[in-house]
Amino acid sequence: MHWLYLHFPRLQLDQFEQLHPEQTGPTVIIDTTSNTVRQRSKAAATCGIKPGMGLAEVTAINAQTWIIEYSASSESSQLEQLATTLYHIASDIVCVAGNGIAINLGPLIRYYQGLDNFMALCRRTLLAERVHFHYGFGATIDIAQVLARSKINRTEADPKHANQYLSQCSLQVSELSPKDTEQLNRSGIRTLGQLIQLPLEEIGKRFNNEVITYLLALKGVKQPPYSLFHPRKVFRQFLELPYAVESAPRLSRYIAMPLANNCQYLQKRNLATDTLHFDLHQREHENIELVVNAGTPHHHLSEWQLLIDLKLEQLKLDSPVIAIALTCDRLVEFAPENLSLLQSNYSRHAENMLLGKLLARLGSENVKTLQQVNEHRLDYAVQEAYSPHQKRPGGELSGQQPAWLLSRPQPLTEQTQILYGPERIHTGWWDVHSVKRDYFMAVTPHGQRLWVFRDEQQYWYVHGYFG
Amino acid sequence: MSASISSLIKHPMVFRGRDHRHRADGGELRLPFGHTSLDKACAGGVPAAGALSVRALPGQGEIQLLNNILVQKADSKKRIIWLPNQVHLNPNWLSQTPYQQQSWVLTAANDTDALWACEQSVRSQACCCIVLYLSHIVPKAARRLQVLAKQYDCLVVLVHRGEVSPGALPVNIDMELTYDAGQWYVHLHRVTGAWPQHHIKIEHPLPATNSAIVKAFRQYNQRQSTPIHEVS
Repeated sequence: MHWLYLHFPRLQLDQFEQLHPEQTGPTVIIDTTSNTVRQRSKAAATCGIKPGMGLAEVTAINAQTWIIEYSASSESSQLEQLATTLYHIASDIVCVAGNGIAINLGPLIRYYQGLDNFMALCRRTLLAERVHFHYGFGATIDIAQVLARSKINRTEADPKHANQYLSQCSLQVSELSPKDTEQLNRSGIRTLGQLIQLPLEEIGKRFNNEVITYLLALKGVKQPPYSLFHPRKVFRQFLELPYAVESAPRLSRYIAMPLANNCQYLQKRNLATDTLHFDLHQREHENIELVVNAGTPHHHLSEWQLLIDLKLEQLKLDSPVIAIALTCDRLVEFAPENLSLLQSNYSRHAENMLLGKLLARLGSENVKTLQQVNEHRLDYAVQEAYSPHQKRPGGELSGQQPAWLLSRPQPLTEQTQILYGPERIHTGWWDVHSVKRDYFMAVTPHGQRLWVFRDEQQYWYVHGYFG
Repeated sequence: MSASISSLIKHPMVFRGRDHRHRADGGELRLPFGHTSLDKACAGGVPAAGALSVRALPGQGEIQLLNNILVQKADSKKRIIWLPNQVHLNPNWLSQTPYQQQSWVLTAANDTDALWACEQSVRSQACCCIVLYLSHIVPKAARRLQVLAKQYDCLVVLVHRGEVSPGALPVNIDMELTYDAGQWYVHLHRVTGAWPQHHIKIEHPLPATNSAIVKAFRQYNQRQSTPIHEVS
């Protein structure tokens, strides 16, 4: 076996720099459990800030340092996203805890006709994702992992050559626990080369089986079991925001990143969706579920971004948002309409794009098509709404009816003259909305033509207008 | 892709044989109302692209006046957008019209949203006509819709009370519908291609009347028609 290990030492910081390219000052990611620096930007390194430093020391060195809280879940989601991206160029991928991805090179070297070819493609893919990474090669994942963490970054076609670099690596870059590392240091063993030279029987007397298993893997004798990565059937990404965002429209720039990944995911699989679910994690209140609908399934980033911006304009947050999760699970095969170059009189695509915008801004209950209804009591019929593209029931028309209806009949307060009527409607005796009315057409002195009715109590109401 | 085609076909030097916006003689295509005197005063009817302002109260027969134009616009198979203000479009009435399948009814919370929806509909190039009811409209907004509608080959019908705008609106046709002593009149405050005119008589019948019965009662009882509150 021949493995490549990719180590991503600053995933969260890479993500922050993508979200805030304008931020060039010293920035550090702080692990809040130990209150120490976990990742640092180039500017922070220039200032003299080092990993492991305490928060007080960081602020003493540079008071203007941007401090961001470490989020394991965000990094885990980002790593999965990277694995999904690499899955397009490699088959056997293993996601390793601690920000690493291992790739089995055995079949790939044959497929790409050489290791250099694959490495060039891999580098290009990761550079497009704008992440920092180190890599190493080895006969097992553990050897490659140690070399990647040691920042060897050398391409080795033969895994046996890795051993000469491995022997020089310190114990700190290995997977040994701090306690075991300390114990070995006290015995004068400071490099992996020294450790590998020791007889396993002697090590077995002083350390547990996990250390033995790890050493066997480092010697290339036995690869511990691993589970291969398979991309999800649906798209899901979690993003922890660097700052709590108080205004909904300002979430747009943060949503853009998972949205771009989602559109890329769909495009590469020739899929499309008409619904995106966003979970907005509020700091002091329950999550807000934001559902964005498009008129038709598609995977165009700019059009989705437009619809989301329209939704965000109307969204009111109860408290600042600290994280975003995007789920896209309604996937259909993308079937674009064939467009004619000179046909300009009708375009289904243009119609669907308009529908998406209207749904996003006005809401689905405010965009509808109307169909004849089987109901004489138009007070209730007018409440029925049908979304465009939805199949609707038919019905029979009753009497002369106006173009416009009031949502509730209003008392008739002005002098009118009856021009037509009555038409009696007596229905609904089987339910609680019994109606017995005599309908008339009437005209006001201003020429407004009203649809009026007289109820059982001899009161007069306006129900609509003849447009 | 659509954007690039759109920019191509909008080029002034590109002639489109299937463009119905202009007649063969180069004149602007106008859609007649179906009322001879009104069409004559409007130089043939409403320009097919642009904005039309109708100053009328709801129920003054504004839809009946526009019906012929809506039917002609619906031939393009594009969408017709209805944006009523505080009233609901009757589904049973719409189902009787030939453009029911093409109609979308939008409910906007306020005039700003209604204008936004109208503008988006025009820009989409998916709509042939937008009927927009507003409580009032300012000349600046009317001008904006006029320019957009003309650019995107769409007819925007603005129905409003006309109380706020004392002068003529900067649209293709700004008309007012009035009723006096049983007769309907149209006042043209502004018409492109013709001079403004007032008191143009039009016929505006209701879909049904009791005139035959009333006439018979008058003949036998020698009484005037009954005021509404005395009907029993």
